[in-house]
This record gives sequence, C-alpha cells and structure tokens, in this order.
Amino acid sequence: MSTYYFAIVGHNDNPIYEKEFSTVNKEQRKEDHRHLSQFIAHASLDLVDEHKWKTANMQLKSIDRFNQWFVSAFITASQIRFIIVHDNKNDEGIKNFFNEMYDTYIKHSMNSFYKINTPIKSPMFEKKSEIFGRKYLLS
Amino acid sequence: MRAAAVLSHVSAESAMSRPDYEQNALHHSCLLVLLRGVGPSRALVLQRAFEKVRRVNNIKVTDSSGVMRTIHFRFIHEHPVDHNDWGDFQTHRRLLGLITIGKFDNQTELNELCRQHESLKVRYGSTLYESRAIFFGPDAENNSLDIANHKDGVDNAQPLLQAMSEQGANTEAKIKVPEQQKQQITARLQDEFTTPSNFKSQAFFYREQDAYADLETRVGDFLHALFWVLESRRLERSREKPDRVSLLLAPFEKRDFVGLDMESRNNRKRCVGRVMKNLADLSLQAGLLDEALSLYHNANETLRSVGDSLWVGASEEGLCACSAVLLYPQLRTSPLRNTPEKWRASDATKKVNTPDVVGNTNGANALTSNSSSCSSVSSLVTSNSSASGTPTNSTSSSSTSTISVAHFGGHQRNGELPANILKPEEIPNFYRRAIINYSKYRNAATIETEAALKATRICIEQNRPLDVAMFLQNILYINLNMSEPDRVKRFEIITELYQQIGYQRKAAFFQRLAAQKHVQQGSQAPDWKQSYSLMLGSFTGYLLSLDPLEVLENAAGWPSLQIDLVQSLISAARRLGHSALATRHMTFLLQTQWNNMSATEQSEMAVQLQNLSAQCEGSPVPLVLDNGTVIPPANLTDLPYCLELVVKDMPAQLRPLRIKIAKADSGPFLFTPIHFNSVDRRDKKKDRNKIAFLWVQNDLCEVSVRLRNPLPFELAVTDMRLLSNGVVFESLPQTVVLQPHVPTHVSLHGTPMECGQLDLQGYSTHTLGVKSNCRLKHMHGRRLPPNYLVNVIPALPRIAIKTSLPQTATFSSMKKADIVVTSASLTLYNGESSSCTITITNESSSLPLEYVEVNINSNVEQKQQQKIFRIDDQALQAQLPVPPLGSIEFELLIYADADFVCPMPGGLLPQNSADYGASSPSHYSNISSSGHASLPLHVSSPHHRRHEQQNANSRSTISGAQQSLAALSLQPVGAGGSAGAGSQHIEAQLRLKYSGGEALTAGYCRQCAVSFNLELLPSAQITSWDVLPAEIASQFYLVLDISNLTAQEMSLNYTDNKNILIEAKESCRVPIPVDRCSLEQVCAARAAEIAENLERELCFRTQLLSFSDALSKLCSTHIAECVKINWMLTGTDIKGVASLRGIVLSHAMVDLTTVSPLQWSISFKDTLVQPHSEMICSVGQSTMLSITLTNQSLQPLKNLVLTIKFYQDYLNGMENYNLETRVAISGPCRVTIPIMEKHEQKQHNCSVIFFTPGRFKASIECATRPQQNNNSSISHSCPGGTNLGQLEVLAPQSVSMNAASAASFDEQQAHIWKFIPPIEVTVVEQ
Repeated sequence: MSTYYFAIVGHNDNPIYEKEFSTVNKEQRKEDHRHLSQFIAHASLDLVDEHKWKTANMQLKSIDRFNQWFVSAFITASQIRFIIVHDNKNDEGIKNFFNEMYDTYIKHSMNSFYKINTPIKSPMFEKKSEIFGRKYLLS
Repeated sequence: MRAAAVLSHVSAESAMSRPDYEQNALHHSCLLVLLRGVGPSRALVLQRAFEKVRRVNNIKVTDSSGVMRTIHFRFIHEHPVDHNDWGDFQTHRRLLGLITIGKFDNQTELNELCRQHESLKVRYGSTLYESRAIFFGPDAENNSLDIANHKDGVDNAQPLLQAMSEQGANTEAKIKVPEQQKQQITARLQDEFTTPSNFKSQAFFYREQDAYADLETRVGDFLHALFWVLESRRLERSREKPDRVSLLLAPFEKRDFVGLDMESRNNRKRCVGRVMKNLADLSLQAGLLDEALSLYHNANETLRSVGDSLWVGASEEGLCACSAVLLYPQLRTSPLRNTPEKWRASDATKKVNTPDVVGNTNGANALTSNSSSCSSVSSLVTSNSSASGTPTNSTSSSSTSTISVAHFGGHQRNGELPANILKPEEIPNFYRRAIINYSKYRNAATIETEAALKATRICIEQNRPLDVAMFLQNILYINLNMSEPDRVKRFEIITELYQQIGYQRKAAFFQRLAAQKHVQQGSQAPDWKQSYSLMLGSFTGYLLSLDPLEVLENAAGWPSLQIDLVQSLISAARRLGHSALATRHMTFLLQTQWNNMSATEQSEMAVQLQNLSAQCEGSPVPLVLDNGTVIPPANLTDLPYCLELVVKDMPAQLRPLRIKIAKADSGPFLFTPIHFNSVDRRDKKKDRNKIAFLWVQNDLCEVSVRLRNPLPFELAVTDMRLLSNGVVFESLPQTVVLQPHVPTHVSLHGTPMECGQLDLQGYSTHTLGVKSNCRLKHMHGRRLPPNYLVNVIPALPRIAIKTSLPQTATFSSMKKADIVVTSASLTLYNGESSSCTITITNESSSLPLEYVEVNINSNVEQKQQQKIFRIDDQALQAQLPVPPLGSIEFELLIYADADFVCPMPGGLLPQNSADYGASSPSHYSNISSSGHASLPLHVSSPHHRRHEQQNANSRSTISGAQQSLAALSLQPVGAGGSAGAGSQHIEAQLRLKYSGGEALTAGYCRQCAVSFNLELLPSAQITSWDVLPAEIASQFYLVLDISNLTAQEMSLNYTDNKNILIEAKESCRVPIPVDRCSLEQVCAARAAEIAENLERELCFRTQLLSFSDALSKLCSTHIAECVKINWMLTGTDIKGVASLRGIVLSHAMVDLTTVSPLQWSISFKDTLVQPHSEMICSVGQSTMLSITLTNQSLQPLKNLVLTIKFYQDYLNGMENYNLETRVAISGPCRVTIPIMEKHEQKQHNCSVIFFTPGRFKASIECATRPQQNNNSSISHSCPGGTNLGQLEVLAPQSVSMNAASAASFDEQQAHIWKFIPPIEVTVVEQ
C-alpha cells in the first residue's frame, strides 16, 4: 500500500492543483492524512526553494521527509513547484510522473483562458493526472 | 547518517535525562557555574545582581609561562545532576562552581538561604570546586523595625544597630555610600545576622540599596579560583603516566567493561585515547586551544584505531568545538537570536563597525556588543585585522567569502591559526561523523541531539541552510526517551532554528506541531496558552498576518492550511477561556477565507461565530495579548455583501439651492478657453466619490445600501450605522433582517452636526454577534469608490405651509411635483375672484426665516397666469424675518380668468387672419348686405343652429359664401359637448424659496411649493356677437349672445343700469352701446404697424403683420376695455366679471367699430337725412338724393366706389333688390372716385323716382378695393406656396387690379363704409 499526494504550488504558496493517489480504498483512508500531507508539502517549500537554485535540474529528487513521508519535488521553468508527498521510495516512477505532468501542465498553461497561478480546473488535466498517476505511481 | 545502536544495551537511566537545547559548540570551552536564586522568589529585586554576575563571563589569566589565557564561564540556572556523570566524557558538562543569590529580611530567612545553598552544594558535591553565596540583607532604614524585632534575639547587636540606623540615614541622604562605609555596613550586616554553623561557604552580604560595586571583583576572584582548580586538574591529568591511566567511562558504559581485560593492548589504547580526549577537553576549558586541538587529533586517531565509536565521536565533536572557538568567537556573545539568516550574508559584508568583541576583558562591554551580534565572520575579520594589524590567515579562510576565520582574541599566536584546525567547511562533516558515531549508542541520544544542535548553530553561522535543515531533520529521528514537555521544547527549538535561517514555512510546520503537542490528547496538563501563542507565531509561515486586511491584500498562501490553522487557534482561544479572542479569530477567518470556503463551510462557520460571540461580543477594537501582541480588529465586511451604496440627495422640498444672484458682467465672451482654477475644477469632476449635491447641517440625510445575505439562513443585522469622517455626524441605527440571497435595500440615516466636508466611509454592522466596520475601501470586487465626500452646508430653516383652501385629492402632474408640500384646490366660475391665505410657519427652533421669494408656475400662459394669481409681495417681505417657530400669513388673490368669448376652434384662427386679407369683396358685400337697420340681430338662434349643423363637418374653413358674420362666433364650448367639458383645470405651483441664518449668507435656500388645483367652471359665455351701427355715428352697438352655462339663474348687468336674468343653460342677446374707436388710435396703431413691419422686413422675417390684424386687435382691446359684464348667480353671492378680451372682429365689424374715415352727409329732397327719420315722397316724383363724402382720415382714400341701391325689406329676412320696376335712379348708381385726398369733399347727386308706393330702403355705401400689391404682400406671408389654393383664388383679382404699387395699407383691404342707418323712404300714392 502506498499513497501519493501530488500538489502543484503556485508562486504565492497557493496550491493550484491537488490530487491524491492511493492503493488504499477510499473508505479506509483517513481524512486527516490528506491534511498532514498538505502540511508536509507546504513545509517542504522552503527546501524546494533552496534546492532549486542549487541545481540545474528540474527534478529535485527527494528533498525532505517527515516521519515516514518523503517529499519529492520538481520545479518548472516558470517556478511552479510540483510536490509529491509519498510514503515509499519510487524515484523512477515519480520522475516519470513529474515529466508527464510537466508536459500536461505546459499544455494547459498555453490555454489563453488559463491564468498562471490560478487553480487548474480542467477535467482534461484531471484525467491526464489520473492516468499518469496510475501508470507511474501506483503500478 | 544514522547507524544502528550496536554497542549499547544498557538500561536507559544512565542516559542523560534531558538535552540542553541551548548548547552551542563554544560551550565546550566554558566552565559551568550554576547561578541560582534561593529563598522566596524576588526575581525582580535580584535581577540586577544576576546580571552583574552574569556579565563576568570570562577572565584573563596569565599563566606561569606568561601566556595570557582567556577563560570563559557559562552561567546556567539549572543543571540536572546526572549530567555531571557525563563529566568524564565531556568535561564541560561538569558543574564546577555554584553561586546562589538570595535576599533575606530576618535571621530565619537567612538560615533558610544558607540551608538551600548547602543543599545545592551537597547535590553537586561530586564535581563542585567552589561555591559562593550572595545575600542581600534588609535595607538599613526601612528594616529598622525588623531589626528591632530581632533585638531580643541578637542582643549584642544593640549598639551596632544604633550606629547602623544612623548610617542608614546617611545612606539615604547620599546616593552613593563611600566604599569604606559600605564595608562597614556589610561587616555589620554580617555581624548582625549570623550564618548557621553548618554554612561553610563564603558569603557576601549586601544591602539592597547598595551599589555593590565590588560584586564583580568578588565574582571574578571566585572564577579565578575555579580556574586554578581546573588548571591544577589539567596539570594533574597531563602528568599522568600513559601506562597508569584508568579507563574513563561514559555513565552507561560502566557495565560494558566489567570483567574485561583492562590490560589488553586495545584497552590500554582505549584508556590512553580517552584520557587524551579528556585532557583535550580540560585544555580547551583552560584556554589552551592549540594543545586541545592536537590532543583531540591524537585522541581521535588513537580511539579510532580501537573502534571506540562513542569516544571517537566525542573527540570529533571536540575538534569541531575547538575549531569553532577559534573560527567563530562571536558565537559566544551572540547566540544568533533574532537573526533572519537570509539577510546576514548581504548585510554582513557592509558592516565594519564591529569592535574587537572577543578581546574585551570587561564583561559589560561584551554584553553591549550583543547588538552587533549579527555581524558576520568576515566583518569580524576586517575589524580584527584592522585592530591588531595582523593579516588573516589566508590558508585557513575558506573559499566561501562569508566563512572566514578570526583569531581567538586572547590567543598568543599573532592571529595565526593553528595548522591543524578544522577548516570551516570540514566542521559540518566532522559533526556528521560524530553524530553517526553517537547514533550507534542509544544512550548517547542526548549527546547526539545536542551535537546536532551545535552543528546546526555552526551551520547557521556558516550560512549553510541545507546543512541546517539536514541536521535539524536528523534530530527528529533520534530516538530519545523524553518527557512530553521536552519533546515540545525540541519542536520549539527546531522552529527557532529554522526561523533563524529564514525557513518560515518549515518553522511554521514545527511550531504548529509543538502547539499540537502542548495540548495533545492524553496530555496531563494541556497548555493551551502556549499552544495558542505558538500557533499565533506560525502565522507568518503560512503567509497569514494578524491583520485581516493585509491577508486579503496579499491573497497568498495555502488556503486549506490557513483555515485549519485559524480553526485550531480559535479552539485554543476558546479553551483558554478567552472568548473575545475566539470571536475575533472566527471573524478573521470569515473575513479572510470566505472565498476559500464552500457554501456549507461558510454557513457552518457563521453559525460557529454566532455561538462564539454569544459568549463574548466581537467589536472592531484591537485586542492586546498578555505578551503585548496586538490583534487588529477583524470586520465582517462582506457579510452581508454590499452590492451598492448610494448617497441620497435630500427630499426635493428640503434640497438646498443656490440663491441666484445676478452675475457680474463678464464681458461679451461667454466662453473662455482660459480656465481659472481649471485644474481643480476638472479634477473634481473626475472624482467619483465626490457627491454633486449638498447635505444640510442638522437635517436628516439618507444613504441607501443594497445588501445581499450570502448565508442560507436569515441574517439579522442590527445597529447598522454610517461610518464617517470629517464633520461630526450623528448616524441613526438601523436594523434589518435579510432573507437568504435576496438583495435588500436598506436606508441608513444620519444627521451632520456641523458644516464642512463629510467623508462617508462605509457603515458599521452588528451581525452574528460581531460589530464590524465595513469600509468601502475594503470592499473589493465592486465598483465602489473608497469613500464618498459630501459637502454639508450650514443649517437651513424648515417651514411648514398651510393654506386656507382644502387640499386636493389628486396630486399635481406638473414638473417639480416633488417639491410640493401641500396642495389647495379651488373651484371658481369664470370671472369670479377669490383669495387664499397662506400660512408659513418656521419650524426650525433656532433659525429665523429671513428670506422668502415667491413665484408662481402654472400650466397656463404667463399673461393669463398673472391675471389669475396675484400676491402682494411687499406685504410679505415686510413680515420678514420670521422668528423660530413663528409664522406669517399672506394672501394670494385668485381670479378666474377665462375666455368668455367663445374660443375659435383650432385651425380656424390663423386661416381667418389670412382670410381677412384675401377674402373676396363679394363675400363682404354679402356680409354687408345683411346689415340692416333693424336692431335685432339678423341671425336668429335657429338660423345659426342650422348653419351649425350644416357646417359641422367642415368647420375648419369659412366656406359657405352665405355664411353670415355670426358664423364667426361659434357655438358655446359646452353646448355640443358633454356636460362639464367646459370646465378648465389650472394647475399651479406657488413656489417658495426661503432661507435664513448662516446658510443665507452662504447663498443657499430651499424651495418648496404649494400646488394649486383650480377648476374654472364656465359661467357666462358669449356665444356670438355682432357689431351694429348705433343711432349716432360715434357709437355702435355690440350685440352679444350670452349664454348662462351654469346651472343656476344668472343675473347679468351689462351696462350701468341694465340687468337681465338668464335661466340656467339659456342664452339671451344683449345690445351694448359702445363708443367707437377713435381715429387717433387707429392712426397710432397704423404707425406702430408700419414701424413694426419695417423692422420685420429688415430682419427678413417672412411673416408680416397686416394692418388689419393690428386694427382688429385694437378694436378688440377697445371693446374689452369698454365693456365689462358683471354677472351674479342669483340666490348665491357668487359673482364675477366677464370680460370680452379676445373677441375677434371681422373686417366689416372693424369698420363699424372704428370711426369711419368718410363722413356722410346725405340730403334727400334737399333735407339732411337724420337717423331714423321718416322720409316721404310720392310715386312718380323725382326726388333729389345728394350725397356728400368727406375724407376725415389722415390718408387719402383711393379707388372708392360709391354705390346706391334701393331695396325693399320684407321684414322676414327677405330683401328684394330687384326693384327695376319700382324705382329708377337718374344718374349713376355707381360712382368711382379714384382718389380722395385728405379733407377732400366729394358730392354726388342723383334723382330717384319711385314707381310704386311702399317702403323702400336705400343702402348707400362706399367701398374700396384692395390693390395689386396686395398680392405681393400675401405671397410674402405664405412663402413656399403653401397656400396655393388661396393664391389661385386671388389670381384673377390681382390681375384686374394692377394699378398703384405703394399704396397705404388701407388699400390692401376691401372696406365698405355704409351710411347707417339706411335711408327709409315711404313712397305714397299721389
């Protein structure tokens, strides 16, 4: 069993997209869990911001952890931060997931009706993230 | 980094109970001294002493070799005894000295202090080198009583006491006691109170008010003593033979080595290594850094070779500590508090002001240099180098510019650092290794934690945030058995360190964790207060601010986390019992996070707020917490949501107006491109918030607000008031209950109490138990200006108006109906007069009414209006001013003016005037033919009616050639129409402009109006009229058909003495003799006419007035002036005057009305014919008829045709002109006179022979024909050929008459002057 909490965070520390992937049934999951993930993701932003200047890569790897949770991050060229809070190691999967999501995000941000830094509400985006999450994270 | 705990399997009690979170690397070099206050706590009193002692934190010692060493001390407040057990492991953990500070008032207390001191000594006895007690005795003076109490107990103190109290007085008088005296006092105090016998320590006695200047020296002495003991221990240790040394153990290791062969080579090495490490610790403490370094290095190697991980770690840590002492001496004085790390790197390079911090021998200086604590390493380097003139050791300074080295101040190395020192970048690595080594032992967890913290602090100093994060993160994974408070403390310290490197979000995370730990379930004593303040502290990390406005403006952060945090804060505040805070935070939550909540959340929160505020009402004032934090007010700005705010003008009747003043002549230029003050004026127009209208001081004003309740339940908003700035404004509370989601209009009222500019900022509400100030500038997302500015003018008086007439049921439809305050209705018969008393009451209690201006507006023409309404303005003005609450009255006279003459139906009049000029002479000849001598009018009523019916469908033109003159006068208005249609409604407004007081000087007034509804009923009406020649030439008869349109019998007085009664709805005919219009008037009219026309011609006006118009007008006015018909309704006192104004006279009538230009003198049978004289002649006899014409007018008359005709009148309306067989005229019966000059006389004679007897009449008339240029004038009058029909009619005539051109206007018209009455000849048989 593994859970992934994926968030895209805008420039003002505002989440613009949030999604959870889990092999655990929804009924069994606790609501509190997601909340904690959010807190962890938020706390890791400091480290993301530190790391992003230290490397030329967009992939920031696993940059933070708290108890059993790891935080992996990805930073886009426009400094939008992708964060995954996860409880088991899956570097390769996360890397692929980030890359695919980056692609999706770029496409979405090309939409002239979308304003950067605002919540993403596109069902297409949702669907894609669902697919990639299942493909790379949960498989 | 972590390694499994392999070697340790010893019970946990030998582990250190609690980590010292405050430690940093430099503390390795310090001697530990416990500084403790004893006795009843008087912290404040002893604070100064504490600080004085603390300031002496280092001493300079010159050792035997002449080297100056600086020894540092660390004063701590608390020291768990078990920490001492680790003294062998790390010597700085050992408590070496003890200082207690206490205050006593009497012997018992002193005893207690001594006892406590001794017990502490016992407690730390194993490691303590020396101790001191500092006692503060009672003050000399105010304690004399106390001392007196002790008198009995201390007998021998009696004389001393005496002296002491004197001394005490001295002390009071002088501020500073001389040293000697003080010594004496101290001595005495010491003598006075004796320490118990078991008290073996050295004690210093002071009085509270003493300066105790020698305290520092004494502490210094004490510290020196400590050092020398330490130095001796060090020397002892250094002299130990390597083969004789015993194994030093960490507390938990004791059992590990039981039964082991101590003599083995490995263990020997272990022993030596450990001793070496121990010696290194001591050297470090004793200020011998070089030695310490090399010893650490050696020990490290030795120990590593035997795999003594714990001690390897310790030696590595020692190395780090020693290097840090050399590299970062400033860490000692600045514990890196309050240093936002992100700035340090940049700030530091600029700072060069740091004095030689380390070199300070004076403790006080060291403390003050705290302010420069944030100075970076590099700055210190510069300052050091400049101060000592020694270059920095370039080899040891690292590549990163911020990390560099400074020499240890007291060190005799000329600034050179030892070669074996760790490079700055190595330090974290060494720490990491040490931590890994420590982590192998579960019992070394505390050591590990402390090492991590020390490493963190070094990394902070080195500005390596990632390392900081790494070390801090590691701390969390150290499995440490510790109490909950310690765990919380750990989070707090982590928070603090994260804050120091500027990781606000991380810090906030741990701060929140700490807050939660404080109150977590199962906690014995949940500390809500701590929890609360921690959560409040984590606000910045979540990009929240205490000020809701700031939060709204920033609109940053993670909303769900923010909501969670604020909610936790609310519950903490509630648990604290601080409901005001809970309410405040809930309000804050609703205000700032409204848009981030779902609808259900919104309503839930709103309900929660309601519950919270039930305990403590929220109000928009800042709350101050115990620690001084100010919680700014939160307002429910958008609850209810304001959709619109409209500042309302005052009601129209109260609206202030400018009193119009005649403008100063600004020259011919009405518009000037040069704008004076143009900038201001234009700017003002741009201001959306500037209100165009004015409000009046002391008058109720209104603002309308449209609100929407976004909650799914009814929202009661009470005490809504306007918020304003500027002039004093008294706003009235308003309460409203808003239905969910329905926009509701709410009117807010208030009264400005001063004049000036009023700044309307919004409104305040009280809803959900919270008072809020909702300011416009904080309402985002709507097109609302930040405020509204309204000018308030000085108070204006108010008036009430009453009339003596009844009010109307219906309201006026006139414009400006909104200023009407009262109404009056009146029904009058046409011609009747009445009056209305209007009472004006000044309602204001302080202002006089000084200015009243009355005018009347109505729906009738100005002229008529002036006739109907009349006011005596002077009488009114004379009554001013009206005192407050006083009243005045004035009279309005109303006269029911109406057209008594039947009005021409629409479209007839203009055509008529044209017809006058153009009508064919035949038409007029017809008319004239109808004029006969009999006085009764030739048109009887039935006849008239017949015509009426005939022409009903073609009334617009006077078509019928036979139409009589009477046809011009049309039927009475009411006759054919429905009943009552004849009544006329007049609406009028009596407008009053009034003012008084200061507003009058400022030029303002108010306007109100009384609406008058006048119903004018028809009374008498002149339905038709005609003009008949009178018996004398100077007069004519105006014959009127007057109908009584009332329902009552009317008595009509038409001349001075003639009365007639007319039944209701009946009419009758009255002849009224009227003087003719004199020729002078005619001439004047003509002259005016010419002048007028000339002017018109000049101005190219197309419409020329014809003279006949003027003339008929003249005649009409003449008649109107001369004839007044008084009527009275019998049985009532209703009476009136009917005027003939507006009577329209036909052309022929005009000729009759005016004095004829021709004077007739006719003689028949040589006798002058007198009016109504009977002339008799016989059949067959020729009779002489002589006609003499004289032109009386001022103009010559042209183209006159004199016609003589005989006819027989059958007196039944039939006249027979075919008298060829009955009469014959010898000589022409038509004579043309081409011109007749002024005063010229013409005579025409002829003879007449009658063939048959009978009564004959002779019509003698003189006619003129219009001339050619008539045509041109008409074509002038109808340009564009609009009246083509008429032109065609005219054409044949105009052809026939193309004679003269410049003729007088007289000649443009056909005139017929008759000799009246016609001559009557009775022919008798001979």
